[in-house]
Amino acid sequence: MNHTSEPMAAGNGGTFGPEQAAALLDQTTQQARRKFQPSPPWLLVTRAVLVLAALGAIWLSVRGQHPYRGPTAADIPVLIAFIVVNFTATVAVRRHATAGVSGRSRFSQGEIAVLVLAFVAAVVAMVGLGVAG
Amino acid sequence: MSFAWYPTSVLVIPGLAWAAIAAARANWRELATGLAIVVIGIVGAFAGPAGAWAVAAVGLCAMLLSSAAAIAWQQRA
Repeated sequence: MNHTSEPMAAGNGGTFGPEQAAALLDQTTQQARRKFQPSPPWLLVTRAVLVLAALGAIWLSVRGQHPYRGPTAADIPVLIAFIVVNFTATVAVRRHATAGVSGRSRFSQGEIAVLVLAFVAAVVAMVGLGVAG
Repeated sequence: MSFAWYPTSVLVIPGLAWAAIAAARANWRELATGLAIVVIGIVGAFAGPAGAWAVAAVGLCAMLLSSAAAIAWQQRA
Protein backbone atom coordinates (compact mmCIF):
# COMPACT_ATOMS: atom_id res chain seq x y z
CA MET A 1 0.00 0.00 0.00
CA ASN A 2 1.30 3.46 -0.86
CA HIS A 3 1.26 5.74 2.19
CA THR A 4 2.90 8.70 0.51
CA SER A 5 1.51 12.14 1.29
CA GLU A 6 2.15 13.29 -2.28
CA PRO A 7 -1.07 14.17 -4.07
CA MET A 8 -2.04 11.84 -6.89
CA ALA A 9 -3.81 12.70 -10.11
CA ALA A 10 -7.57 12.23 -9.85
CA GLY A 11 -9.69 10.91 -12.66
CA ASN A 12 -11.08 14.34 -13.51
CA GLY A 13 -7.64 15.93 -13.89
CA GLY A 14 -7.43 17.44 -10.35
CA THR A 15 -5.24 16.31 -7.47
CA PHE A 16 -6.25 13.75 -4.88
CA GLY A 17 -4.48 14.09 -1.54
CA PRO A 18 -4.20 11.45 1.20
CA GLU A 19 -6.67 13.35 3.42
CA GLN A 20 -9.25 13.30 0.65
CA ALA A 21 -8.57 9.60 0.08
CA ALA A 22 -9.06 8.90 3.80
CA ALA A 23 -12.28 10.94 3.81
CA LEU A 24 -13.53 9.07 0.75
CA LEU A 25 -12.68 5.74 2.38
CA ASP A 26 -14.60 6.74 5.54
CA GLN A 27 -17.57 7.89 3.48
CA THR A 28 -17.59 4.68 1.45
CA THR A 29 -17.36 2.58 4.64
CA GLN A 30 -20.36 4.43 6.11
CA GLN A 31 -22.36 3.98 2.91
CA ALA A 32 -21.53 0.26 2.79
CA ARG A 33 -22.55 -0.14 6.46
CA ARG A 34 -25.89 1.56 5.76
CA LYS A 35 -26.55 -0.53 2.63
CA PHE A 36 -25.63 -3.89 4.18
CA GLN A 37 -27.34 -3.20 7.53
CA PRO A 38 -29.89 -6.07 7.85
CA SER A 39 -31.93 -4.09 10.39
CA PRO A 40 -31.84 -0.42 9.36
CA PRO A 41 -33.14 2.09 11.93
CA TRP A 42 -36.32 2.83 9.97
CA LEU A 43 -37.22 -0.90 9.99
CA LEU A 44 -36.67 -1.10 13.75
CA VAL A 45 -38.82 2.00 14.31
CA THR A 46 -41.55 0.47 12.11
CA ARG A 47 -41.30 -2.77 14.08
CA ALA A 48 -41.50 -0.82 17.36
CA VAL A 49 -44.73 0.89 16.27
CA LEU A 50 -46.19 -2.43 15.08
CA VAL A 51 -45.29 -4.19 18.36
CA LEU A 52 -46.81 -1.39 20.39
CA ALA A 53 -49.98 -1.45 18.29
CA ALA A 54 -50.39 -5.25 18.25
CA LEU A 55 -49.55 -5.99 21.89
CA GLY A 56 -51.27 -2.79 23.04
CA ALA A 57 -54.46 -3.89 21.26
CA ILE A 58 -54.31 -7.26 23.01
CA TRP A 59 -53.73 -5.58 26.37
CA LEU A 60 -56.80 -3.40 25.79
CA SER A 61 -58.88 -6.50 25.10
CA VAL A 62 -57.70 -8.50 28.13
CA ARG A 63 -57.37 -5.82 30.81
CA GLY A 64 -61.06 -5.95 31.69
CA GLN A 65 -61.19 -9.75 32.05
CA HIS A 66 -62.03 -11.00 35.54
CA PRO A 67 -60.96 -13.79 35.68
CA TYR A 68 -58.29 -13.58 33.01
CA ARG A 69 -59.06 -15.77 29.99
CA GLY A 70 -56.36 -14.63 27.56
CA PRO A 71 -56.52 -12.95 24.14
CA THR A 72 -59.90 -13.07 22.40
CA ALA A 73 -60.73 -14.10 18.83
CA ALA A 74 -60.77 -10.41 17.90
CA ASP A 75 -57.02 -10.27 18.62
CA ILE A 76 -56.13 -12.95 16.06
CA PRO A 77 -56.41 -10.65 12.97
CA VAL A 78 -54.23 -8.07 14.76
CA LEU A 79 -51.56 -10.66 15.49
CA ILE A 80 -51.70 -12.10 11.96
CA ALA A 81 -51.43 -8.60 10.43
CA PHE A 82 -48.44 -7.84 12.65
CA ILE A 83 -46.68 -11.10 11.71
CA VAL A 84 -47.34 -10.67 7.96
CA VAL A 85 -46.26 -6.99 7.81
CA ASN A 86 -43.18 -7.58 9.96
CA PHE A 87 -42.14 -10.70 8.04
CA THR A 88 -42.65 -9.04 4.64
CA ALA A 89 -40.70 -5.91 5.57
CA THR A 90 -37.87 -7.92 7.15
CA VAL A 91 -37.50 -10.28 4.18
CA ALA A 92 -37.64 -7.39 1.67
CA VAL A 93 -34.97 -5.41 3.53
CA ARG A 94 -32.68 -8.44 3.96
CA ARG A 95 -33.00 -9.38 0.29
CA HIS A 96 -32.07 -5.83 -0.68
CA ALA A 97 -29.17 -5.69 1.82
CA THR A 98 -27.69 -9.04 0.81
CA ALA A 99 -28.30 -8.87 -2.98
CA GLY A 100 -25.15 -10.09 -4.72
CA VAL A 101 -23.45 -10.92 -1.43
CA SER A 102 -22.25 -14.45 -0.77
CA GLY A 103 -20.24 -16.16 1.95
CA ARG A 104 -20.81 -17.00 5.61
CA SER A 105 -24.20 -16.13 7.05
CA ARG A 106 -24.59 -13.75 10.00
CA PHE A 107 -24.97 -16.68 12.39
CA SER A 108 -23.06 -19.96 12.43
CA GLN A 109 -24.99 -23.25 12.38
CA GLY A 110 -24.24 -23.74 16.08
CA GLU A 111 -25.63 -20.31 16.95
CA ILE A 112 -28.78 -20.95 14.91
CA ALA A 113 -29.19 -24.29 16.72
CA VAL A 114 -28.83 -22.55 20.12
CA LEU A 115 -31.48 -19.94 19.19
CA VAL A 116 -33.92 -22.56 17.85
CA LEU A 117 -33.42 -24.73 20.97
CA ALA A 118 -34.00 -21.69 23.17
CA PHE A 119 -37.35 -21.01 21.48
CA VAL A 120 -38.32 -24.69 21.69
CA ALA A 121 -37.31 -24.80 25.38
CA ALA A 122 -39.42 -21.69 26.06
CA VAL A 123 -42.48 -23.21 24.38
CA VAL A 124 -41.98 -26.56 26.16
CA ALA A 125 -41.58 -24.78 29.51
CA MET A 126 -44.76 -22.76 28.94
CA VAL A 127 -46.76 -25.82 27.87
CA GLY A 128 -45.44 -27.64 30.95
CA LEU A 129 -46.47 -24.76 33.20
CA GLY A 130 -49.87 -24.62 31.51
CA VAL A 131 -50.48 -28.35 32.03
CA ALA A 132 -49.30 -28.13 35.65
CA GLY A 133 -51.77 -25.28 36.19
CA MET B 1 -53.10 -18.55 37.06
CA SER B 2 -49.98 -20.06 35.53
CA PHE B 3 -46.97 -18.16 34.22
CA ALA B 4 -47.67 -20.04 30.97
CA TRP B 5 -50.41 -17.49 30.28
CA TYR B 6 -48.01 -14.57 30.62
CA PRO B 7 -46.87 -13.36 27.17
CA THR B 8 -43.56 -12.21 28.59
CA SER B 9 -42.65 -15.69 29.94
CA VAL B 10 -41.66 -16.79 26.46
CA LEU B 11 -39.07 -14.00 26.20
CA VAL B 12 -36.70 -15.03 29.00
CA ILE B 13 -34.95 -18.13 27.60
CA PRO B 14 -34.53 -16.84 24.00
CA GLY B 15 -33.36 -13.49 25.42
CA LEU B 16 -30.70 -15.29 27.47
CA ALA B 17 -29.60 -17.31 24.41
CA TRP B 18 -29.40 -14.14 22.31
CA ALA B 19 -27.36 -12.40 25.02
CA ALA B 20 -24.99 -15.38 25.32
CA ILE B 21 -24.35 -15.47 21.56
CA ALA B 22 -23.85 -11.69 21.45
CA ALA B 23 -21.41 -11.89 24.40
CA ALA B 24 -19.44 -14.64 22.65
CA ARG B 25 -19.19 -12.37 19.60
CA ALA B 26 -18.32 -9.33 21.74
CA ASN B 27 -21.30 -7.55 20.16
CA TRP B 28 -22.26 -5.25 23.03
CA ARG B 29 -25.30 -3.68 21.36
CA GLU B 30 -26.87 -7.10 20.71
CA LEU B 31 -25.90 -8.18 24.24
CA ALA B 32 -27.82 -5.19 25.62
CA THR B 33 -30.78 -6.16 23.41
CA GLY B 34 -30.75 -9.74 24.75
CA LEU B 35 -30.54 -8.58 28.35
CA ALA B 36 -33.33 -6.04 27.78
CA ILE B 37 -35.55 -8.87 26.48
CA VAL B 38 -34.77 -10.91 29.62
CA VAL B 39 -35.60 -7.90 31.85
CA ILE B 40 -38.91 -7.38 30.01
CA GLY B 41 -39.73 -11.06 30.58
CA ILE B 42 -38.97 -10.82 34.31
CA VAL B 43 -40.81 -7.51 34.82
CA GLY B 44 -43.83 -8.94 32.98
CA ALA B 45 -44.00 -11.79 35.48
CA PHE B 46 -44.72 -9.24 38.23
CA ALA B 47 -47.34 -7.36 36.23
CA GLY B 48 -50.08 -9.98 36.22
CA PRO B 49 -51.36 -11.81 33.13
CA ALA B 50 -53.09 -8.79 31.59
CA GLY B 51 -50.45 -6.28 32.66
CA ALA B 52 -47.76 -8.49 31.13
CA TRP B 53 -49.17 -7.62 27.69
CA ALA B 54 -48.69 -3.92 28.44
CA VAL B 55 -45.17 -4.56 29.75
CA ALA B 56 -44.35 -6.52 26.57
CA ALA B 57 -45.84 -3.77 24.35
CA VAL B 58 -44.03 -0.87 25.99
CA GLY B 59 -40.82 -2.78 26.77
CA LEU B 60 -40.30 -4.26 23.31
CA CYS B 61 -41.23 -0.94 21.68
CA ALA B 62 -38.67 0.91 23.84
CA MET B 63 -36.04 -1.77 23.18
CA LEU B 64 -36.55 -1.55 19.39
CA LEU B 65 -36.47 2.26 19.45
CA SER B 66 -33.25 2.16 21.48
CA SER B 67 -31.68 -0.25 18.99
CA ALA B 68 -32.72 2.02 16.10
CA ALA B 69 -31.19 5.02 17.86
CA ALA B 70 -27.97 3.10 18.60
CA ILE B 71 -27.60 1.95 14.97
CA ALA B 72 -28.33 5.45 13.64
CA TRP B 73 -25.77 6.94 16.04
CA GLN B 74 -23.22 4.27 15.05
CA GLN B 75 -23.75 5.04 11.36
CA ARG B 76 -23.24 8.76 11.95
CA ALA B 77 -20.09 8.34 14.07
